[in-house]
Amino acid sequence: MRDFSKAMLRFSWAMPLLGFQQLVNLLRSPDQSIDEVAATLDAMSQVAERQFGELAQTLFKSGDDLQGRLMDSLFGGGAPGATAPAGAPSTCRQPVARAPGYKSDPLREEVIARYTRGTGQFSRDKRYIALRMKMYTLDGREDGYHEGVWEAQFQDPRELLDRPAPPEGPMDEPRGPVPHAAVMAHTKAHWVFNNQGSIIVAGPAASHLVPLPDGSFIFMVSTAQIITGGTGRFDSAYGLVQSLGSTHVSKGVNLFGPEDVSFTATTIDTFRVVRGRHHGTVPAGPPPPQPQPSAPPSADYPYQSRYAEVHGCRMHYIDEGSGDPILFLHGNPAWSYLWRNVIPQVTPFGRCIAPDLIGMGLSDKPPIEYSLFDQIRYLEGFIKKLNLRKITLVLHDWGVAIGSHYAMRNERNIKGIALMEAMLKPYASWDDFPASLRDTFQSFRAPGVGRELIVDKNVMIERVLPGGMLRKLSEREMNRYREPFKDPASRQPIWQFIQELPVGGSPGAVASLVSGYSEKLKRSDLPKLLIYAEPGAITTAADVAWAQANLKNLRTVSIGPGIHFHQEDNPAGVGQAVAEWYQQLS
Amino acid sequence: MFYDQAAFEEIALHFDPALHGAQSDPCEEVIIRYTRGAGRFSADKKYITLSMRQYTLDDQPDGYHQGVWEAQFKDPRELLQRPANPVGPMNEPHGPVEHLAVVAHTKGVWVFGDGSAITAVGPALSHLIPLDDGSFLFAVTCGQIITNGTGRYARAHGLKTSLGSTHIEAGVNLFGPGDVKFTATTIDTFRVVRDPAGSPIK
Repeated sequence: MRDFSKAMLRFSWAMPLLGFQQLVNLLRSPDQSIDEVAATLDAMSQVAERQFGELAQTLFKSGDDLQGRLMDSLFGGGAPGATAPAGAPSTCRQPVARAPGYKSDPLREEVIARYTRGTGQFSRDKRYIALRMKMYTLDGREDGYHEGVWEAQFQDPRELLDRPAPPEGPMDEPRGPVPHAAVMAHTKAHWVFNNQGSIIVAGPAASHLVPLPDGSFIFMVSTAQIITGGTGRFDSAYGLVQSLGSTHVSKGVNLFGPEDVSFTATTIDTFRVVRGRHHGTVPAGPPPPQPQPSAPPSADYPYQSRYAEVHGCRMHYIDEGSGDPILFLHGNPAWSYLWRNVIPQVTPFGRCIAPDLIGMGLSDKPPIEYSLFDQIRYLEGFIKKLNLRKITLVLHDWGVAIGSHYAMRNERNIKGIALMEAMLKPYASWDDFPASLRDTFQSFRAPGVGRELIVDKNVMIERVLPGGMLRKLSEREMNRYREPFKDPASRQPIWQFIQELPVGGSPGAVASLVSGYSEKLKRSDLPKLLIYAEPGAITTAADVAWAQANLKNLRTVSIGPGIHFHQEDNPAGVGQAVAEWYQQLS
Repeated sequence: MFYDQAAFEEIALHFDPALHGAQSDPCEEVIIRYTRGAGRFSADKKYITLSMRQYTLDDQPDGYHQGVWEAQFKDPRELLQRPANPVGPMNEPHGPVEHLAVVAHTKGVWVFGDGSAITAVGPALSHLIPLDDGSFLFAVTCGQIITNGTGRYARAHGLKTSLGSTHIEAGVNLFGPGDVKFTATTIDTFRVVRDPAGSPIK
């Protein structure tokens, strides 16, 4: 054991180059005796010492800054103008006449690498993990500790087994597409260095569960974090941090099971830091994001089309902004084009995603019935495909039924629900149906008549759509609404939605579904926003009063005159109502 | 070089070429590389592409790295801001945990010297740090998931991080009009589980 210890000490200075865990690996080898390990280490140390000799040992004994300078050499960071460390032979820096390595600014940018080992502990609800770790320099010296909290953003741990499809498009051209991978967790953490201050961070994380052939797993976490503050030598420091951690989960252990699981873990952490003394004057800061000023409705649809493969079909969507997702669901007859002038009001505050329901807009048109349940199945597949977490729903028309049904079955994944022209409960009879629409929709449901009107004559696009707003759509706008429904076969989803309207208990399954989410909405504490116009079509003054009396945590906002398509008559009003409400949610 | 290459290779013979630091299991391969090269903005400033040479920690060339960064912010001045310190305990498994907005999305490929490659995608934070002489440091950190690989990393699974930066001289407007190119550097850390025969992760 004495020989082993001596070998360890002798070898320690070279660990930054060769990796501390190499040593650990050797020690783990079951077929090596401790003497063999010591002999191996000693032999390697002798070879290494011949090459690095006193220089490296001097540097490592001189503290963290000097270690950083040696790392500069090892990383190829011989920066022009950098001074040689005290005590280092002049030959140390001179021969390293190559391009700077891993730093962009050799004088003010500090790059620090540490690894940590310790324990992780789950909360009982498996939503949070806390890490309590000892921290080490790369040469294995203990250097304080690291603590942090990880908050899951997924609903089912099995999602951690998934990984995104390979990205499409070029890697060497500055253009998309770039996939929007899901944020699987949010994190906060600090690293407390021995007598030298601390660094505090927060940021999103990827997480992944990798099954191994023996039935065990490796659970990994990869973070992207920003330094929010610091103490001591890192007081007023700025910068970014990456942390890449893992834990091995033995076969038979359910990390996400009901029992109270603690586990060992390790992380590798790298910091790019600019200390406070090097920080310059912040230029006049940007004003806090404000909703965009009102603008006349535009016919433009200036968004990049994206597609998600759901149940073997491509669902089209647009995806703008960043942050937690705000999911805009259109109704009948429409597509994401409906939201084109609303989304710019909301993108300063979150990630705005507007899909086209299956069979509508630019989404595929598979040979299915297009029942409400089909639409729900595809929409839920879409949410799962994009791994959307903490969703805020902005719902219109049939989008209300689809979105509310999802929300009431996945309440933990929802931040809030904004509703417009909303079917909040089934219609007990045609007398209960909105008066302004009653005759029209009764004719649409009449056998032999409705199909001809909707499928052959396209009256939902040509008549009902323009009739549902105060302003007149331009021909260019009308053409955009017509595009997805040019031939009769493409109008099947529009016709089917009409058949699905739950009036007098029929169709029974739809009536039951609407009753179900209606009752749950009444009990739910989720924040709700009801945007309405006067006189409205589906949401009339009586419906607003019903909502105010029956829905908890509800805000109602009137946006002035309007019928059914408020997004066309007053997109700024809709967008600002959503944006202001959303900021309070956040 | 201030060390002798042959001697280094002698040392390296004792180890796998990949750095196994901080493993949680022998199946897990830990690799660290750094890259240097050029970045280029798209005309609309929404995208950056990186074309980088890749190096091992002992400065040996080891392939190349390419990637694309897609901005998720409206105004570059947002990059100057940093959030307030998180609140609540750091050592207890409960919230609150701040939900920071993703500033960019990324995709990248790392092609090693033997031709094997790892492709990954993931969200990123970006930060613009003003320095005392009027210049700036533009930094990017990514938490990425490996989507696929080739060669020895065919069907590999895992995660990786990338922490990059570029120094912007005083007076240069990185986000201004014009075709701006810049030099950049990244440090990339990979945790990889290669696909062993019989593994369920096909």
